[in-house]
Amino acid sequence: MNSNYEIVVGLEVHAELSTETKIFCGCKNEFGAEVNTNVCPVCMGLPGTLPVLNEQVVEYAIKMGHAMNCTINGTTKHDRKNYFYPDLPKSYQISQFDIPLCENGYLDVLVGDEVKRIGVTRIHIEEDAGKLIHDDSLGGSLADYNRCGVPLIEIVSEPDIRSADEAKAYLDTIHTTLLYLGISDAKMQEGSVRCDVNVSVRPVGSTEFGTRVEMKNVNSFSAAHRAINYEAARQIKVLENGGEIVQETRRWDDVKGVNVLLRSKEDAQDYRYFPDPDLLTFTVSDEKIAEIKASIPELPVAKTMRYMSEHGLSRADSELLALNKNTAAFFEAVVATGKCEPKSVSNWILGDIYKVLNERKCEITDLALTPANLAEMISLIEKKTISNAAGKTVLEIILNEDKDPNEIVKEKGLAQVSDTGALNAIVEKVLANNEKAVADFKNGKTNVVGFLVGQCMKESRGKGNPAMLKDMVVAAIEKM
Amino acid sequence: MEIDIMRLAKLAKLSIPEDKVEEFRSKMESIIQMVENLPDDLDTTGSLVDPDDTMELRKDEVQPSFPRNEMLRNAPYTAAGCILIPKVVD
Ligand SMILES: [Zn+2]
Repeated sequence: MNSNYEIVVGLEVHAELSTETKIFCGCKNEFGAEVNTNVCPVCMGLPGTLPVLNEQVVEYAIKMGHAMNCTINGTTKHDRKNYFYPDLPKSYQISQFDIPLCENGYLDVLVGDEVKRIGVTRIHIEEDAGKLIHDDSLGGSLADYNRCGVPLIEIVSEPDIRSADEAKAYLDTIHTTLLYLGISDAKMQEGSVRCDVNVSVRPVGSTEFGTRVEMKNVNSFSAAHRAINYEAARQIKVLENGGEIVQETRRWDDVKGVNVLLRSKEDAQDYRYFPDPDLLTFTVSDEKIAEIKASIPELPVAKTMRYMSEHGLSRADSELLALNKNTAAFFEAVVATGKCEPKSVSNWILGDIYKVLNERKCEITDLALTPANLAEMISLIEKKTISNAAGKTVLEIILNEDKDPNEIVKEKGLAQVSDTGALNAIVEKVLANNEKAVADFKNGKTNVVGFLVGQCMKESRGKGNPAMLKDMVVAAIEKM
Repeated sequence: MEIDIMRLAKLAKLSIPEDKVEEFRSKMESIIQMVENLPDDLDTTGSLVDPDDTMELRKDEVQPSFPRNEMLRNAPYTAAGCILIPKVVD
């Protein structure tokens, strides 16, 4: 990237809300149903029908508004956004124009080790459109209206984003926030989160924005990263060649890694917004808004920061733990027992336990493992009652059944022998059987101590305390 | 009031033959004139919300949808459980 230029990005994110029913009718809000089975006269836009707003949509949107530090407009309305496209049977989308439900917020995201604050212009509620299936054999397109009327929130950012990495961090944070709040499935592959990307460039130091270009069809967050870098490079090349950026909409082709002109400014849509006469003003009381605010849990970025400062974990580990709501809750429950070091808990969860979660493709809550048992197991290692290796054996059992690690240690005879007398006998026996190694050690090849301790561990059938054995081996040879 | 009838036609997806442009333009003008002559007692300078006349919201409870064949009866062409429409590319 040419370092004489700065990238300026604004993002519009659409997220489908995971309500039971659609926004304006009682049809099921469900992905993957048989085509045109979740439809009725309201969501198919037949004349003479009246939409009725789903209260859950309002509540979910306000949750997101609070999570993004927005002002909530308790008195608002719906507006019609008019355009012709066959996935929209009414020829208008019910949306919100001048009074969005939430506005003037911000989202703190982590970019590298830095916290970056990105302004959120507004979050409004609207209905999704249907899906078109293009089929050449039929000489036309097939319209499936199941998705028509599925509730959406549109989150519009300020042009505060300065790189593809920042955009990715912002999108990832929105994604985990949606999951934390439990208001969206947030499945990119099912199209439940989509984004439009606005990109412009300007000379470093300039305070004026360059002409922005909007990109459509950006279907994943990693695609957004690629699309932004491509478009910025394209604009810089145009400017460097003495050209001018024109305001237009381009279509991102992620397979080819390029974008192509979709429509120029002259063809820009004029949506002719006006208040929807089918819907009246709706209000949400201050008490209700406050009640929803109180229900917002600690969110992933705040958690990440807290794990770093409170528990001294690395940024990467903190983020991995915080990213998944269930993993974070589990980690916190283990730490809350006060029995073991947070750092060890993090290592076990992100190491051995993560491996199992990946293999079984499940969540930590799907395992029989309890926070109490994991805490106990780790504390046994920290108290040197068992070795790290024995800890792994215990973990294998407590992953699949709720059993007291102390009992497992007893049953399997896993306790480390730290009794000097018993260990001394082992050391003497091993040294007597390995005269060559002892001689090597005396001749300065001190690294044979590892071999000798290994032999001692073998002799103790894995139960000896390796740190003690090492000290005893060295002391014994020096006395010889 | 200047009316760009071709732009309106484009937004409304209507095709207006060249020789009809003037006729539509003058008709549109009189419609707009009529609207502008409406009594001015309706205050539309605000945001048009009316906190004294609000709507009840609906509980998030599933109601049965309509049978697909019933819904599709409204469409001129259907195929594979869908409404068949002229090919669109965008
Ligand atoms: Zn419906």
